[in-house]
Amino acid sequence: MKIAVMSCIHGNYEALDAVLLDIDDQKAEKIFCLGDLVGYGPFPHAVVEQIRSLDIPTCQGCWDEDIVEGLNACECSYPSLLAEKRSKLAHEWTQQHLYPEDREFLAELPHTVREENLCFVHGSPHSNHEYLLPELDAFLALERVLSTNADVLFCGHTHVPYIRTLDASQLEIKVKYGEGKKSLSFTTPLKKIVNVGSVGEPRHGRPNATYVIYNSETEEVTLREVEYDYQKTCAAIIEKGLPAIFAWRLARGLEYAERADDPTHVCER
Amino acid sequence: MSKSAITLVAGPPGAGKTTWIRHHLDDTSNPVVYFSPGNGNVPIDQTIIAAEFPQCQTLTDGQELELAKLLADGYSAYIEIGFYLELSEIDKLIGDIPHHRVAVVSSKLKNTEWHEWANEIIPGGGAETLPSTSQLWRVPMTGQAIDPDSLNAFWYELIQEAYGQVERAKAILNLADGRCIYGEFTPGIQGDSFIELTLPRLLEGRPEGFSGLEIFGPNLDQKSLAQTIKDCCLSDTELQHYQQQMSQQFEEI
Repeated sequence: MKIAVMSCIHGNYEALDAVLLDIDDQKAEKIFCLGDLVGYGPFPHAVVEQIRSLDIPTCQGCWDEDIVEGLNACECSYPSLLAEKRSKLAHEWTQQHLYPEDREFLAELPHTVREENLCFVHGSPHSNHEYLLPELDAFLALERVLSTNADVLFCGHTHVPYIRTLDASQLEIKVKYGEGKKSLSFTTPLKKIVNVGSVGEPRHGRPNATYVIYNSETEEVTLREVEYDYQKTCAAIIEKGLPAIFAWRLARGLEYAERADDPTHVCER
Repeated sequence: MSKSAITLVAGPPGAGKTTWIRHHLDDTSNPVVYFSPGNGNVPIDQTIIAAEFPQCQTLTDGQELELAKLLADGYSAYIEIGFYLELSEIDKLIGDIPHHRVAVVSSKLKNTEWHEWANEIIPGGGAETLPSTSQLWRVPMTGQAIDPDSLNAFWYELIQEAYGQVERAKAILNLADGRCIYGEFTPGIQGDSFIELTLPRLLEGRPEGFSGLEIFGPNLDQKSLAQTIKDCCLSDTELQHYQQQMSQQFEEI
C-alpha cells in the first residue's frame, strides 16, 4: 500500500492544497499527518478545517499543543531571543484566529499514531518538542525507534527531510545488582527514521513543500518536493498583519530552528 | 604645523576610507588625531579607531576647538568626510588652512565629484555606482546588550536584504556576554563576520561604552528594522539572568 506522510503545515493553506493534489497524482491510498497544523502561517483555521474534513489521522505537533495548553517550552524551541519574540507574536496571532472547534480538534490529537509496523510522531516518541536530527547519536536514535515497537518511525518538526537507516544493530545491556551481574543482548532488525520535512514552512533552502510517499510492500521511501504559489502565502502573511519577516523567510525556505542544529540537545520539556 | 598635517579623506560608502586611515595610523608614531564630523551620537569609526589605536586621539562633533588646539600643538590629523556630507560645505569650513585631500574610490567609478575634489585618488572598493536616493539610518544603542544568536539571525536578514537593499552597514555592538564587537558590510566585499574589540569584558550591569548601528540604502524598511533590533536586545531581567549564568560558568572554570 502506498501512503503519504506530511507534517508542519503551519497555517499555509496554499501549500497544503498543492500537496493534497500531488498526493492524489501519486495515487496514495492513505494520508497521515504529523502535526503542527498552525503557527506562523496566515490560514490556521482553513488548515485545521481541511485536515479534519478529510479525516486524516494526525498527531499533535508542538504548536498544536502550545495553542491549547499555553507556551511552556524548553530552550530548544527558541534558537534566539529574536525568534522567541517573533514566535510569541505568531502564537498570539494564531490564538486570535482559531475557532473553538479548531482548538478542540487540536486538543484531542494523539501524541502518536500507529499503523501496523509504522509509527507516526511529530518530534520524537518522547516529546513533540524534541528534534530527531539526522546526526543524532545512533544509540539514542535507535532507542527512540525501539521505544515505539515499530520498524519505521515517521517524524517531522525539523522541517528538513531525511531518511536514516539504522542497520541491524546489537544492543548489549549489563545490569549489576548486589553481587550478581546480568547481561542482556538484543539484536534488532533494520529500522528506519523518516523525516518528512515540512509542507508549509520548509527549511531546506527552497520555498517548496515537502512530504513523503511510503510503499509498505517495497518499503521504498520517496521524498516529494512540491512547488506551489508561495507568493500568495507571503502576501497573505503581510496582509493579515503577521510579521513581514515570516514572508521573507518563507520565500527563501528559511524556517527558524537554528538551535535545532545541535544534535546533542535532548529536549527537557 | 607642516603643510600636510591635515589629511581629509573622502569617498563613497564602503570604499575603504576608515581602512585607509587605519593603515596610516598603524605606520605613524607621531602625535595624531582622528576626527569624523557629522557622526553625531553614532560615532562608530571613532570608537573602533580609539579601541585599535589608543595612542590616537579621537574627536567627535562639537570638539572642533580641541581639534584646532591639537593641530596647534603639532598633531597631524586625519579627517574622515562621510559620503553624506557635501564636499563644498567641507571646503567652506576648512577655508585656507593647508591640507591634503585623499579620495578613496572604486576604480570602476570615473569622473565623480571625489575625483575632481581630491589631490590623491586611492583605488578602493564599495559601490560601483553612485549613491543617490539612499537613506542613512542611524541608531544609537549605547546601554543595550544584544543576544548573540539574535544578532546572527538579524545580520543575516539584513545583508540578505530582508529590510531592503543595503549599500553599507556598520555596527559596534555590546553583546550579552560582555564582549564588544565591530561588524561591517559592503555588498560583494565584507559582511559575514564580526571582530571582537579589545576592550575589557563586561560581566555586570548594562554596558556603558558606545554602541550603535548605521545602515545606508534606498527604501530601507526602518520600522521593521527598529522592531527587530529592539527584539534582539535583552531586558534588565534577561541580562541579569544571562550574567548570572556566565559568572557561574567562569567560577566552574
